[in-house]
Amino acid sequence: MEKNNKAIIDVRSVTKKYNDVTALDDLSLQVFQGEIFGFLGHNGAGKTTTVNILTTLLAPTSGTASICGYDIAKDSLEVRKNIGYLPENVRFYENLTAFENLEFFAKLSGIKKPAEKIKEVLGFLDFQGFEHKKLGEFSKGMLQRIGIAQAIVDDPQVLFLDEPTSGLDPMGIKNLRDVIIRLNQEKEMTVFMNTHLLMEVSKTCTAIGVLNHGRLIYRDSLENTLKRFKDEVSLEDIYLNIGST
Amino acid sequence: MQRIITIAKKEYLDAIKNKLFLVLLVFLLVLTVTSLVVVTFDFPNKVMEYNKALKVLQNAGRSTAALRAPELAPLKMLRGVIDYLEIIGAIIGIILGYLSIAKEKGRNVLQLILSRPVSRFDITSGKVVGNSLLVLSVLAGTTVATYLIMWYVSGQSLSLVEMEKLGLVYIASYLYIMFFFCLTSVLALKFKTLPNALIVSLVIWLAFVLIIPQVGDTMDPDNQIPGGFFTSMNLTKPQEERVMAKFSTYEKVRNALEESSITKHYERLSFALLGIKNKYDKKPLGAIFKDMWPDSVWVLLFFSAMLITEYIVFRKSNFMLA
Amino acid sequence: MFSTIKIIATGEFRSLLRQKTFSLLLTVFLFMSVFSAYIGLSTKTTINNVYNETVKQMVAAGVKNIPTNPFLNAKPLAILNNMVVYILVIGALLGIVVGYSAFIRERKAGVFKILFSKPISKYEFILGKMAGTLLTMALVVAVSFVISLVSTSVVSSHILSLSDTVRLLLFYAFSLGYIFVFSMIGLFFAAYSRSESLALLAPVVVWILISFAIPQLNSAVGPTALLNPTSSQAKLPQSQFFTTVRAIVHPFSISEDFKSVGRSLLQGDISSYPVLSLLMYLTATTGGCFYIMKKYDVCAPESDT
Repeated sequence: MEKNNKAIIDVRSVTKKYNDVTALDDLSLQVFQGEIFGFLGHNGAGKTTTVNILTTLLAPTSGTASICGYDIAKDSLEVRKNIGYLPENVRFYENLTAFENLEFFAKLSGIKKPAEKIKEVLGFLDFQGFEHKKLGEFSKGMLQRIGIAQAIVDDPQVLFLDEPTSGLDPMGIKNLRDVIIRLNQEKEMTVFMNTHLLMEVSKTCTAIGVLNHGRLIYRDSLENTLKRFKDEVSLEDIYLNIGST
Repeated sequence: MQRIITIAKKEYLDAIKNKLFLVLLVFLLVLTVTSLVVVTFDFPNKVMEYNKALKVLQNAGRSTAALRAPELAPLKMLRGVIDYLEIIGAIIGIILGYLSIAKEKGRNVLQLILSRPVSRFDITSGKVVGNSLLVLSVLAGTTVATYLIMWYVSGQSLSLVEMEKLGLVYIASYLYIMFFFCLTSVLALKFKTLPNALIVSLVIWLAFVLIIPQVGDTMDPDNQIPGGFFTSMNLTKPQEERVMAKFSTYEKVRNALEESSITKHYERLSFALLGIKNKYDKKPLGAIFKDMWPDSVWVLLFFSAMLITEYIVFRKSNFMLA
Repeated sequence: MFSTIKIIATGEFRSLLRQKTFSLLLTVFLFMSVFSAYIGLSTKTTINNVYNETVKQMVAAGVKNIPTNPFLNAKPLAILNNMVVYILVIGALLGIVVGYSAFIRERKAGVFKILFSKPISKYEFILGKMAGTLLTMALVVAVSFVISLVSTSVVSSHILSLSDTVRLLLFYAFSLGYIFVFSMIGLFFAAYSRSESLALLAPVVVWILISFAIPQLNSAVGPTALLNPTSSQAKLPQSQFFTTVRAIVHPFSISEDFKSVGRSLLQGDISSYPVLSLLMYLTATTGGCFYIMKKYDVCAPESDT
């Protein structure tokens, strides 16, 4: 999908401190409309903290950010009307069926006819036939599909995914990749994805950012990155190169 | 043996670092001290009531033989302490039992321990020994604190026989609390979801400690009127017994219900040993055990059965969480 | 706002009804409702027989002044006396488990981040939880009311009078308030504590404090005496210390006040309706839940036990 020059996620000098620990250090970052943005970094770099701040779950110590033009602090309700979020390791309500789980979240998003919308979303995800099974019986891959379903049920402009491939087998990872690309191309969704899997980043993302101990050390489109580091064999080598400088 | 001691030591230290356990311990001590203080301050009331009742009977020209003068006997002051051990002591047992299993099962650490050359028997024994030492320490602390208060208030120290009786109550209290420890450990091992094990333990606690004894007490005809039905009818104890002899079936059913609860056995045994039940006041140990041996056996049986169950269940468990 | 609250409340209600532990406690509670009537009837019959036997033996012994049967004019609802204790004990525990489950479920499901990335506020969420909890407990209490109504009518062989029915209804309404207090305490600790076990045990400890420790300080009632529905208050020790202590703890003695109200409505041998402590606890516990929800960090990690 062609990149729009409009920054749909605009982070300006965000710092987050927990007592003596600085989780994010003067982070400034822009993600443009239509991008599939891969956010990389070592464990404890601050990726999840960044996503928690952008999804209005956490307040920054200083700095500002906006999503779709809405300030995360002043217009948090508007921000949340325009985003979908799948956190890492969500288990959902195991004693409810898939449909009941989705219906609950759809209603909270303000959807008037949740049944129709759920049917549409499950059709898009090619996941019909399991609606009336309890989530306690689902595999990790199936749970992840439900997780994506609840995140996109209200057609958000921006989708946040925190380690979406965690615990998935290779087929599950491929399915997820296909879904993300289709969401971006067919529904024009901007995707912000925390991930460790560099192979997936190279196949899925259109732009990457690298976080190191709370600081953004790199940000560019994937195309430019591959051109700049043309001597490196793989994205893994590029990442390690960036991280070492 | 070394492995058992290692595990026992860890159990002991883990428990004393646990905030909830410490809060309950303080709670237990505060409540038992409060009950002693209440008894002490209430004593002049009881003397006043006795004197009033005495005067009424004397003015009516009736016998005062049935009346007993109140006395600030040290062991009798422990009634409230026993009541609180029944309730809170059991909860302490439940918490220790739950944490003993949950802290490892919840984090899948048990599999790590079992992948070492440690038998399941050793692990279970370590847990039982460690927590036993802890319960014995708690009871020792409670005993010392209450003894000091009793001695201060009544000005009397305990005779050798009284100390023996107190020691036996101490042992019975240990068995009682450890029954709940073993019960909760078993449930935590069996249930896939740990908090459900805790809830079921609390339901059983409710049934044994509160409901069954309460139903038994409620069914007692003498408890139907504040102050006692038979007292309101001006009957003496022998007269009361003659009346109740006609209702032996009812009493048998009531008794059977009470006997299903370890708490009732523990209470009967403790009250008899401490002379709280007037019938056994100042009686020698032999005379008390002549009547109370079934309750002693029941307490021991409940504890032993649950301890054996814990060993069996631990041996067969696969420790997988839902 | 109301639609969001309704969504959360109905979700809560539906989830609770499917929970096994809730079903267990509910079964125990409803069983005790039936059992209470049976115990009441059995005891009433036996007591009257004991009185008659006592009178027979007293007459045979030549006693002249025989007291009248104290149970002769017992009200039909008196056979439900034990319900007062079962509400105090089982009802409170049921309330704690319901309140605890209401919050813990979301924590275990790991959905807080999802929930609050939707356009709902913490205020709406907690109100929805309270409404769902109240709805569930109201259903439980309603069923118990019907059981008690039917059982007392069967036992007394005629339908309860309107005034007795109203008294029974009032008793259960007050019981709902009492149980709801403990639901809120359960909800509070589930939000406050990161440890699941602490979240469940802490309200139980609070319940012990409210049900046993405070009455002991308020009126020298021992723990076992509190569980006897007919026990009168012990005479408070005469001392400045106890008078001062009583003045402090008296407003918090909700369990004794509940017993008084229960006894007044069911037995009718006293007429005491202290509702102030209930109102106070309802205000404090619901306020506490709002406060703790406001402070709740949806991003903080969970404890393992």
